[in-house]
Amino acid sequence: MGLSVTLSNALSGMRVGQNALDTLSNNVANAGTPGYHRRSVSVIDSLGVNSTYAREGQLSRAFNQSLQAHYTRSTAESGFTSVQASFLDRVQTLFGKPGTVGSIDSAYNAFESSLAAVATSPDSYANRADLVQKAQTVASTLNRLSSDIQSLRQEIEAKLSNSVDSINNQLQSLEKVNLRLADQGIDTTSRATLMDQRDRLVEDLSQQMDLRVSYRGDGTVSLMTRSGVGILDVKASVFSYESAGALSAASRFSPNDAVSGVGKLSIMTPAGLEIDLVKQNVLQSGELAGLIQLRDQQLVQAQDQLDEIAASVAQAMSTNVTQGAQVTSGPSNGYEVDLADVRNGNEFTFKYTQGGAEKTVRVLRVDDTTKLPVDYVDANGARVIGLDFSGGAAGVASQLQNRLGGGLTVSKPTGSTLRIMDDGVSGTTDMLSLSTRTTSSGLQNGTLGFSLFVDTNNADFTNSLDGVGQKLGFASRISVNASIVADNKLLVQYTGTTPLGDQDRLNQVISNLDDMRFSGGQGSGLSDASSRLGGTVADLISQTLNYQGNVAEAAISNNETQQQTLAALTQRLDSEYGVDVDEEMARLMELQNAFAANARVMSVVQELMDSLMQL
Amino acid sequence: MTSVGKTMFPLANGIKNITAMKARYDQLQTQLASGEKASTLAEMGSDRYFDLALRQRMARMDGYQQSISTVNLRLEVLDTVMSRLDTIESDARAAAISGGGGTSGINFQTTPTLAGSRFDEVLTLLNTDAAGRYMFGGNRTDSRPVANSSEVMNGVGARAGFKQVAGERKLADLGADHLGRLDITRATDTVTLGEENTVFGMKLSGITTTSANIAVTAPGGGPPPALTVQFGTPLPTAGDKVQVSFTLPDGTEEQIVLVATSGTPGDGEFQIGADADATAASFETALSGSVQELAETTLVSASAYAAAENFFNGQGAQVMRVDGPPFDSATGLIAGTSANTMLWYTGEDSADPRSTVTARVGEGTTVGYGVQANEAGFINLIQTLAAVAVQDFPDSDPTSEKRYSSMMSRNAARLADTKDNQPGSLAAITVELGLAQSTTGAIAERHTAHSAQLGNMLEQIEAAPTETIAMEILALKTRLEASYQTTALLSQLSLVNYMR
Repeated sequence: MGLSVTLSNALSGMRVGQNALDTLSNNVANAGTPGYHRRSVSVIDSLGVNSTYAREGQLSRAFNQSLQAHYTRSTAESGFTSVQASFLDRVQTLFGKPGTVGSIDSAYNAFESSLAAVATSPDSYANRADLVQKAQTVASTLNRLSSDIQSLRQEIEAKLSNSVDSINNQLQSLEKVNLRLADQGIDTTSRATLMDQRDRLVEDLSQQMDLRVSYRGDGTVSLMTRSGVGILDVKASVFSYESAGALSAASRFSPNDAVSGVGKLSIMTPAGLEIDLVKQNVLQSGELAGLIQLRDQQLVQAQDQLDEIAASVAQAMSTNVTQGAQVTSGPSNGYEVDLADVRNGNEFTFKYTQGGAEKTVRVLRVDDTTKLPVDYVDANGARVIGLDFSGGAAGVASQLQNRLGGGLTVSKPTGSTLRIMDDGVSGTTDMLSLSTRTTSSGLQNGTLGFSLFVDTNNADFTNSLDGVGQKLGFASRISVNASIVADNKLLVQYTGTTPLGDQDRLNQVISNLDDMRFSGGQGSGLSDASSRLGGTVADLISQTLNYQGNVAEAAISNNETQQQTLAALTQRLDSEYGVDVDEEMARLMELQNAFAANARVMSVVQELMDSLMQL
Repeated sequence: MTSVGKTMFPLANGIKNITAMKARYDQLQTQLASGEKASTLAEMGSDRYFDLALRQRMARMDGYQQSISTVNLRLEVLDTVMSRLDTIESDARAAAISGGGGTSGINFQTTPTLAGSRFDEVLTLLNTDAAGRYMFGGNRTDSRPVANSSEVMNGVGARAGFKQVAGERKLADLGADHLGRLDITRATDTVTLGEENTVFGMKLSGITTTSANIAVTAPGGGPPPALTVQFGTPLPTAGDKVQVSFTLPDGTEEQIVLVATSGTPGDGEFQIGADADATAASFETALSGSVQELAETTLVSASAYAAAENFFNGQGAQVMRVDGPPFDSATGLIAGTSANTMLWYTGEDSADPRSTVTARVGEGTTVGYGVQANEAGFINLIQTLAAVAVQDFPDSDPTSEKRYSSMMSRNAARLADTKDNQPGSLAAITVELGLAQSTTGAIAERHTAHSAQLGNMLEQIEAAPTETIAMEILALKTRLEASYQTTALLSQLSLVNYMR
């Protein structure tokens, strides 16, 4: 024991204080740096040869693994909800508030009012011109909404492509950070900085997708998706995105690459394994999943609903309903109807009771036999059967008989007439009605229905199922019949000589709009039954607006909740990792005092030494 | 959109709350300014579907209201025209005073002229349009339902007008010998009065006699049918009467009475001769004279009405005219075509005129207010006026007076008030249109009331209650100010500020 021990103790204290000040100043300087984790130096009293002196221990960095895991998960969720909310909010803005200019319901209501005005004064040129203009507004509103929705999908494609680029960059950076962290020779300060960088990168990546992060002892991380696909383990996987070019309503995702009309998002693992992230449903949360869900589900639904509206409004104009004639044969009753005018996609409908329960069956004409069999229950509860009409009424009769089984007897009495009879005597089945719903094939062929709304090239809309189905994307193609735009008398004259004051055509159209019920098709791969529509044209429009409003509202409120959760977590992170300047200042004062005390000790030792020397 | 904060000095939670409050403050201000609770579809929440349904319902009701106001305008026009037509009808009825030739036959001149001008006015009224829409042609509203009166009367080019058609009919009814298409022959003591084989002229409807000594046979045999009067011994005594009845082309009945006399026979008398043959000869002469007189007076009037009935065709009927020339020996009628005859009415021809023009004025409520100029009430008036208008009664013509009085008696019968009860009469049409008007009136009231209710409901859903918002703004303002104050105070409280 001697003065030199005291001196070296004081020296060690000053050195520790110096180092602590280094760390402290670093903390204070980075108090506002995003992703900076507070550091601290521990002090150990070491036993020397004949003394104990202070020595700085490990530089420790604030980090809480379970909090971090929670945070990683939460950022993915909030990435998902915020991208959904922002796009769906835009969708609902496109649809517009009911009653505002440009909203589909105002356009339709104006069309209906104009129709009523023309029915009262069919001879007024001004009224007819107004009706044509209102019809054009309905068509152009549908066109606009449809193209807006497709451009949103297009935007999503671009966004996906951008995200993939930045994900790849981040993964590469993370790979490098991992490599450097694995190097044991690195000094502790750089190590802490690298770890900050590592956490920032993980944070960014977790916003894009749902990650499972494993922290290793040496500070390196490995990344997997929650579904278990490895993204980074020493070497990074490479994300790739093949854009599909311009999207239209018909461009939809399909597990079959040859048919799929949308961009392909895949990942190439370091082992050279390629995984299609969408097909395998790898991503469940994060921005990427949110974008893909929007592109392949929500926006597709919105388009489907618009197509449904376009199809129903076109059909309400062009459909002629022909009631079947009642037939009695012995004890059994039934109806017969001529199928000659039933066009591809048109249908005949019959109602009957079986054991007291009323049943409705719609039989569709399907020319594209690859679409068969068609047999499902529509949104209005009617059974829909698709049949090949190429064998004439006899062929239809035998196919329908097969489908129906017993109870009803289907036959072809003559020509293109179809007859459906109940079982009469036992009374378990009773035919109630039989009618055809056919699309009018001309503007002046004497039928009251007329194609006011047409498909491209002025083609009639018959709702055929051929190819992708005429309904798909119809909202983007619907337009007002060019012949009617050129001569609006055709709104009234169903023959060349019909007087202009005749109201029959308009009255039929109005009653079709009031009474004719439409229902969504099988739903092109949509599992969500709530998005299917059923009812009159006005019902379909209300349901669509209500549905879109609901979806947006849910997404927005979901996002708000998620953002609040995230905010709470961020606050926790802040208190765990953040730099509290007050605390640092207090420590600064302590360090200052300690330094001064050590210095004082040294100067006392000096004085003592001096006194000793002067002896 | 990014949820990971990358800014230097990330905002503390307190500041986030302040930002949220500020955003809510802005939203409240928007609500206050616009008066609407929600500015987007999503914000409307659970009221969305109800709101849509209300709007749709109100838009539809607006449509009905518009229809009703259009229909009411038309019904008012119709009402004006109908009351004018009614006035014309009663004026025409008042003018028809049988035998009222007036001082020096003044009415002989004025009656046809007046009838002509009334006819002209009626046709003009039937061409009334409301904003370019012709009201009296059923649903053929885009063209004039009735041709103009001078064309109807005088014809155009090869197309014959009523004057010509009526003239032809007159020739056909009178026959070349002015005996009204009857033949009178005598064989010794028997006089035979026979019809010609034609639809024109007078038709025999009966014969009676007061004498036991005159053998009459009722019209029969043929066709064409004939009646006979046979004289024998003893001869009839003076004062014995033979009465022959005729049906005229317009369906009216006329009689000729011939009285036996011993002296020189005057008008309507025949002389009892030396024997049956001589008496028969005198009877033949008297009959011939009376028939000719009847033909030249009453038959001419009846012929004019018959021509009018055939020319101014009613619902479901064709324009018929004499199949000629020659006309005085014509035997039948033929349908006039648009090439050879002026067709007076070119509107819609429906059996139920009211239903040709309808308007939906409410859910399931339709009013029919179509009117056709060829309905019974209109054509009755037109036919009557037209028949009179084509007549002339020169003072020099000895038949004028009788023709005038037979015209006027027919005129009075046709325009009698009792006809008002018949379907399609002017009165009946007016009543039916009145019913339509009262229906639209009642429904319009209902719509107004209902619309107002719906409007209130919509207001409740959509309108932002000013008081609530104002209160909320006030509360928010207090909180916001308090938060600002606290934040500002807290920011001062740092150790840094207290270090030397």
